[in-house]
Amino acid sequence: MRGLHDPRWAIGLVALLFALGAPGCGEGGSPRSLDVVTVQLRWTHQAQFAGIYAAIEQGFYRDAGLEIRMLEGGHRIDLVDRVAGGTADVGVESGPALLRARDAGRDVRAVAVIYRRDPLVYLTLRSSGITKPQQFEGHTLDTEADIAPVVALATANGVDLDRIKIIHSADNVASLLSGKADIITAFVMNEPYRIRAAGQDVNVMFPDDYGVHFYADTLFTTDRYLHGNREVVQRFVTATLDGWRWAIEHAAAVPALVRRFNPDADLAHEARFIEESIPLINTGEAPIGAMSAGAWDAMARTLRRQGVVAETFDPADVYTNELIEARVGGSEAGGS
Amino acid sequence: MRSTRSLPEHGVALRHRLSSRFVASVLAILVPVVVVQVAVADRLGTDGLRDAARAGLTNSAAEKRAAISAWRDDRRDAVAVVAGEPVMRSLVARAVAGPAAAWNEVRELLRLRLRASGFTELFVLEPDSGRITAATEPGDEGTLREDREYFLEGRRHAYVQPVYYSAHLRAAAMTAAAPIRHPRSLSVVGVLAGRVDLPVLQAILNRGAGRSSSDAFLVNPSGLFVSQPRFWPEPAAFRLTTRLPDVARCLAGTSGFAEGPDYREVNALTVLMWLPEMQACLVVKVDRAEALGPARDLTERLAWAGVVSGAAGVGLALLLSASIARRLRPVRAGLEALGRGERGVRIQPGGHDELAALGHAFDDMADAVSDGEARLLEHARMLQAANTELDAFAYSVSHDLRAPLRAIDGFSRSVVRALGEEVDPQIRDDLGRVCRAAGHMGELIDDLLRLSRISRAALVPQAVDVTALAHDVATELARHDPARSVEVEVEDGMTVEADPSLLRIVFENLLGNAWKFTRPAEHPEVHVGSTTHDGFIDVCVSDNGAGFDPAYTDKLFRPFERLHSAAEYEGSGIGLATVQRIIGRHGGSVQAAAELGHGAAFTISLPRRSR
Repeated sequence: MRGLHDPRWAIGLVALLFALGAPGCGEGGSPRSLDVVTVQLRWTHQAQFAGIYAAIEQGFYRDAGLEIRMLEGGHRIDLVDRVAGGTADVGVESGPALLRARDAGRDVRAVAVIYRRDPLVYLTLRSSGITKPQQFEGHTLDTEADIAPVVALATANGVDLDRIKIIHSADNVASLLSGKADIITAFVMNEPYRIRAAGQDVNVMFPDDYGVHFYADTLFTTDRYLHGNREVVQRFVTATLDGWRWAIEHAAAVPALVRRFNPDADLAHEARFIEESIPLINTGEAPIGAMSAGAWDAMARTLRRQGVVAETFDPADVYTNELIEARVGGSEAGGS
Repeated sequence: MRSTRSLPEHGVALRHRLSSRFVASVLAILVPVVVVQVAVADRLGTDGLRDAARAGLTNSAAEKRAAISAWRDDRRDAVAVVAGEPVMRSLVARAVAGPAAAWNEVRELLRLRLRASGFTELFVLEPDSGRITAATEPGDEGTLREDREYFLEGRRHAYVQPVYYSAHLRAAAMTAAAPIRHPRSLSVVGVLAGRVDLPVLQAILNRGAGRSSSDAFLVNPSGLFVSQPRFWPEPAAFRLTTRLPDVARCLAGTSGFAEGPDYREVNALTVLMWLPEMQACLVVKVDRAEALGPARDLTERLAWAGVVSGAAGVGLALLLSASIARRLRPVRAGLEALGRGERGVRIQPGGHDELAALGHAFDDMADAVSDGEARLLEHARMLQAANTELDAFAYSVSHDLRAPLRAIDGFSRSVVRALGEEVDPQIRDDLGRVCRAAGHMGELIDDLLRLSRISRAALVPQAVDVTALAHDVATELARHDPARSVEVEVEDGMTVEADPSLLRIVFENLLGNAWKFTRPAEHPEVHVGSTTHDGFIDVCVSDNGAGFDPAYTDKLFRPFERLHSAAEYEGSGIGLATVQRIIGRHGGSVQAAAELGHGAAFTISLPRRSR
């Protein structure tokens, strides 16, 4: 019998441990070291982020060598702070918010737009007969603290803002149903259903039909992060947009997908959410995610007119299409 | 026995080897032919069908392109016609300048023109702001279209915006627009826009679907489907994206043909055509399986034909080998019969082929064998007759010689008796010699008779205890010659298969000789032992007697040859000849070895089993 003092025995044992250990470590961890990207969501988990969920579940991030960590948003969370301050690497914010942040000297850089059209709509009860912004004068509007969209709408349609009474309430649907307000701002995927559920018909006015074209959910990072991790961001954008493409093509699968991240999600609500979202995301005028210089210029113009940003502000400082363009080129060459 | 048992086995093996070789040959020829035939047919058929499918798809794409182009031009002209109508121009000019109520007349006119123009909605936009001032859909009035392509282009000339996603309609849309000019100043007072009826486009795309898997659709530069493909179960327009490289090439302006998976991951033959006026790629395709199916059918049919002809070939080979085996069977049976000794068997084959020649050769051989055997039998019979005659002669000679011998012996004795005591001793001695010579001659004649009888006696072989036999003979010798003391040593347990009475004669001779020739020896010894080899048993009788000169060994076994004088050693001189004859009849042999004055050894070899 070979003794424990035999050196060959010890060498064999070490080799065995290596042989067992090496793949074990690889499988337990990751096949290659993944780059971790922390994403600051604009809100709590819901179908609004279906593309990110899809990219996680379909393995697009993993295939791109990325591990994604998500931070939920909320009322009290300053999304720009989270990203510019380095808590998150990438965030989701609206186009006008990014323009204002850049104008205020914050380090933000938009890399892809998800919601090209704003889901923020104007609702009136069918019985009120109010169907156009021109009819807003002399009525009460219940909206959020940020009235930039309202100002933009009024300006584009020659409405005298001074003749509209603006209030801010905690529950806009209640104020509309109670008659406290004649018009409310709301999200197209939520409130119209709540009002209809309450037995009232509703008029929906899209700002897009009235000359206001604001980008809603837009992926952004900082120039600082982009400088050191351009290739990581590139992979993140590509995988995220692949996720969105998947989510749109498999809209029926989205509610279940949301539930993986938010066990309390109402499937019917999430199904409505994604159905209402698709027209705002996949507008067909350009490859998904691509931003247009004209849209940024128009947003900046609107904000300048309102005096929210400086007259000298150049919107070219706030976005880059380079990552999208690299991706489009890649997809044409690669196919799938 | 061996030959008759082994022949059928050979026959079976022959037939099986024959049939498998025939089958293998047939398959070796047929299989490559069929494989090559099927491959060539598949290749030619597939290529031909692919070319045909490509031509068909290209034709179909060209027709659709022409139809789409004509339809698009028709829409452009239709909106231009309505926008250019004097009544439209004057009404809009008046409404722009005058009171808001004048728009009601514009609205009324739009409604009147809607049905005839084929649009689903008509509306007039204010040329500076892009606001809709009158529309067949009242809800649209007041909304802004300031950034829409059809509006921006339509201010300058008649234009159709290719299929785009309308955020307002939340659906795919296509809109034609044309400027409305002031009747006199010709300045643009409005833009007339008409929503194109998209199902018409879908109908054009679906038109003339020649095959059950034919499909046609449009993809925009973003890779988004802008029409509904036939086999996508969900709404596809502005939802479904393709990233196929062929579509990407088409979107880059390169029309072409492709073969590969489609949006369903089903292999398809596809013609892609870039439509600049639609800013879209027209994709016309058919499933590969359907387009090339007939080639596969042909290939399958050919493959089946190959299988059938292969089976037929194998069957033919088996039949052929069976017929050859059938014709070989009489030859085999004949050979077996010949082996058993039947000489009358003949095949007398019909036909003139090689197998018939084989049969004739067999018959010739059987004739030759029969003739040869008949001659041999004749020789044997003659030999037998001669032997019988010889034996009869020898017997009669011996018998006839006895009478005069007895006379010589008898009369000699009576002469001695008659002469009484007065006879001259010399004469008495001579007469005694005559008597002894006559007696010796009688013994010779007896031995000769025995020798001839041995040759003729029937052999009755059985197991013989040689040890007991040798002891028996030695005891007998000792009894006849009690004066001598010969040490006889016999090995235990020796048995052979032989005729016991003949074998006894053998040992009487051999032991008798040993007894006789050991007379000079101081301590006479005789040894009987055995060895076995190659199916024979060798029994050796050796002594330490007078021996003989080995140079004369060949004379030993001839009758009446003697190596010693009769005075020295009595005997007739035919004992060893008798031994050799008996052992020869048993299928064995006798060897002698000796040295003059140092004893002799005689070895008889007998088969362990008699034949």
